[in-house]
Amino acid sequence: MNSIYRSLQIQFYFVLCLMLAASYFTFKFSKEIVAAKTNIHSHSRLITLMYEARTQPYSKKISYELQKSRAYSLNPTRALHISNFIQAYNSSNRNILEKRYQELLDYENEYVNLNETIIESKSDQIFAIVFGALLLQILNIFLYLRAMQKQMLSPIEHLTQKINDFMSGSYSYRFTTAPDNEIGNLERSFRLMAEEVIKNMEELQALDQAKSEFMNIVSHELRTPMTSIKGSLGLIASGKMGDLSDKVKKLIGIAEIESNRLIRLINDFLDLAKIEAKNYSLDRSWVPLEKILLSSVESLKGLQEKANVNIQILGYPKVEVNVDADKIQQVLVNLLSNAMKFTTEHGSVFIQADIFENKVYIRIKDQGPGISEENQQKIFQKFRQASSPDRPLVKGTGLGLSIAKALVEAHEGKISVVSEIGKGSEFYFTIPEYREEIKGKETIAA
Amino acid sequence: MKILLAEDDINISTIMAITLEQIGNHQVTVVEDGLAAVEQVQRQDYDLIILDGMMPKLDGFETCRKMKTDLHLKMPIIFMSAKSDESSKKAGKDLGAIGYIEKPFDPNLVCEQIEKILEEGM
Repeated sequence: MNSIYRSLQIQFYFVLCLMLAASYFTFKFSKEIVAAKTNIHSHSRLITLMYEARTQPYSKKISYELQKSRAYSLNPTRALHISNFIQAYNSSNRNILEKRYQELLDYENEYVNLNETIIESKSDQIFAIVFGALLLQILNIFLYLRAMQKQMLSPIEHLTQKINDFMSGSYSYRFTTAPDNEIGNLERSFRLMAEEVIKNMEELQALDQAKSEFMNIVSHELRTPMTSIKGSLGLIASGKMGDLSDKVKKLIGIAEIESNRLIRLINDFLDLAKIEAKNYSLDRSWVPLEKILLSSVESLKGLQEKANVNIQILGYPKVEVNVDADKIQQVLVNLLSNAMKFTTEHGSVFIQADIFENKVYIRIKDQGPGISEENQQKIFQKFRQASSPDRPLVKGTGLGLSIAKALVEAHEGKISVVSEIGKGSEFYFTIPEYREEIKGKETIAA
Repeated sequence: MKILLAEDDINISTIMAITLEQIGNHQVTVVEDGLAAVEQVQRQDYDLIILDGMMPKLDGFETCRKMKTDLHLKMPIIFMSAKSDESSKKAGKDLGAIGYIEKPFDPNLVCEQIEKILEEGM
């Protein structure tokens, strides 16, 4: 596997070798420079001695120093020349001394040039090595960074982009073959995960689709027999099929009420399933709040008369809301009829709307028995009902508040209740999207 | 009125027929599927055709299309169906029906419903 780690290792060894080589040669050449400097120093010393030997009277000390010089001279040729000079010095022969003096001087000049050359060239070489090593290292770093960019950083960026595309592009993706290294492994793993996710998504979608179809089939299959039952009972109850005794009338009445309740339950159940389905869409438009409130109250006129409970509108802001008007009306009717159910005859139910914290609040207040705190949590759940009131006008399905909650939440609002036993209840829900009423729109006469 | 009712469920067609005859005082002819309905309208004239949504051979929508688009029938058509969603109702209207009755229906009210639809449709 072309491992990024492996290439990092190679890098390390290369730099190590480079550093070792540069250090070795720098050290070696430095030693040579030091030796050359020492030689030059010794040369200066010898020249001084030679001059003293030539110009001053014979001295045992000078002879001794000359011999020391020869002893320290490692070069045999140089040592020989110095020996010759010492011999001539000791012989007191002026002519030979002069000759040897000249020979040694010539040699020493060459000697000093040689060493100076050594110092110069070795200095240059050290410089070249260090500078060269530095350049090589810079080049190496540059090439390596480029390689890392290509092998690691670029693929990582690429993969990040792919992941973002995957998330935003409805889970679609295109993959190229991944390189054979750590990044490649990451890509391969991501691909496996992406395929899992897509598979799950498809399963979920299929499931949701199946659920929708199931709901439709069930509702149809349930509604068909209910049609016959309701139809039969209705015809009998009408009296047109023949007279009925009081007892029979009563029994038929019971059957009618319960079959109607069953029909409402099927409707509610289907409603709730539709709302909770993934692809539920609202038919939104800007509607005056007034219109929805008045329309809801109007639609409950019959119930108000029958129950002898009236609905009072206490006040509302002049705004328009961006909602599916039918659905919000459904919520209102639901809450209002609940409130009426629990209000005694000649009592009232109040409805009021106001703006608070940038949302429209719609509140329905009743003077019923109130709801205990533990029940307040439960009532929005499916099939939970508070205990039946004394005069059940219309027996609930248990789904009404669940549907109201689902509809309110589909509009990004919240629904809740404030209540105390013995002090009535206030159900309220919010609509976040509103605006000032636009002038020129006709208002519905109250 | 002379009414043609196309409905495959015998119980429902019985009840509907009794309702229309006893409460609405209409004359009702019952057929069990869309094809039979198409044949009937070509033999006789009717004041109203009521079509069930789901039927064998030719379902309610297909029957309506055949009658309105192919045969150019002027007779009013009302759908009767257990499906209550908006798209079904719209589909019916688009095919030329003048109204919709939801199942289950109240036999004591359905005749008024039909009259109302006919009034609005004319």
